Amino acid sequence: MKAFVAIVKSTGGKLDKYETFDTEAEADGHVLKYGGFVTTSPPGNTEYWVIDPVTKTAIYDEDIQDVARSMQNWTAEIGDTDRTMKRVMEDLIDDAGLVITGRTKANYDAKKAIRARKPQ
Amino acid sequence: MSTLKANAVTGSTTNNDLALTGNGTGVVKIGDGAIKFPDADGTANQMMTTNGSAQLAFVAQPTSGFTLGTEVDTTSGTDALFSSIPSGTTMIVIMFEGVSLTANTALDLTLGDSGGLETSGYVGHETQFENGTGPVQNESTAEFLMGIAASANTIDGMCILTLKDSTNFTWSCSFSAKMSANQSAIASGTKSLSAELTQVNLGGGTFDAGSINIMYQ
Repeated sequence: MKAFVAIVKSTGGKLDKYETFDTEAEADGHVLKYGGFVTTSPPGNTEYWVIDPVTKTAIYDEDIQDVARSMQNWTAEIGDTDRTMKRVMEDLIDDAGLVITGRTKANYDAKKAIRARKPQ
Repeated sequence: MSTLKANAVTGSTTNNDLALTGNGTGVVKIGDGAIKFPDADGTANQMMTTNGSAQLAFVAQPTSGFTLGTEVDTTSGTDALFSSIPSGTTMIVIMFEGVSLTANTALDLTLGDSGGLETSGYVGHETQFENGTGPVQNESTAEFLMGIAASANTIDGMCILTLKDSTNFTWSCSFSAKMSANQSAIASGTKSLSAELTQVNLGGGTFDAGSINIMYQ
């Protein structure tokens, strides 16, 4: 990401359109032509930038990205358990009150432990 | 106006050209269709076309086939930007080889015009398939998601963008790639830009391996 960003358009704090530049003068020139404002480029994924056109600021909200990343990790982790304990089997055990032992119980318990850690 | 009637006209001096010129702004017209020749030369390697109304003109030759871009190294940095995509482009193929991101991050694709890269209005869906597990699905309106790449994964494959509507600058996207030894991803969607596409950017996290290139026509 280059040092300066021309925030060309944003809606409700979310970024809609931008262009990055090495120098502030280049970014100023872009804004002159396409509108918006210039600020220093925040770090992080643009999806998690918070834009304020009034104060002409763009900040990176790491907390929001952390939540999204946690959910991605959790989704991948619970998806991995489908190999040994599919959701339909989990529901069947829960709903029918089946008594399970051995490897089936170990897989069931592992899946329940991951499910309990689902990010909010 | 006087008319010369003859079955052949030949230059009078050996090895001299035969010149035909109009008068003032007038041009040379030839044949029963009175086809008008341009009065000025074109530039090197241009070709001649008609406007369908008996006027010939010099124009650039159509480019044949795809133009291969300059490969972008993705062993570091957060963006692989391909800018200066020429006007009139209707198809772009993005090619990934061994592309890796440092964290469990979604590789994403954004499109842009001369005003900048656009980060809203995407209609898309991405699905990953892993041997022995259920599919994992993701959606975003802020970009085309190309798949969640675990840090150990490398992405090998391609994404095809085609111009579906030149009035609204609407592009269709189709992506497929290998994500790991037992995982593949597919994604598709559409995105309308504010103006003609001039740039595409791959990002989403920090790159630590591989390379990306595009070709377009």
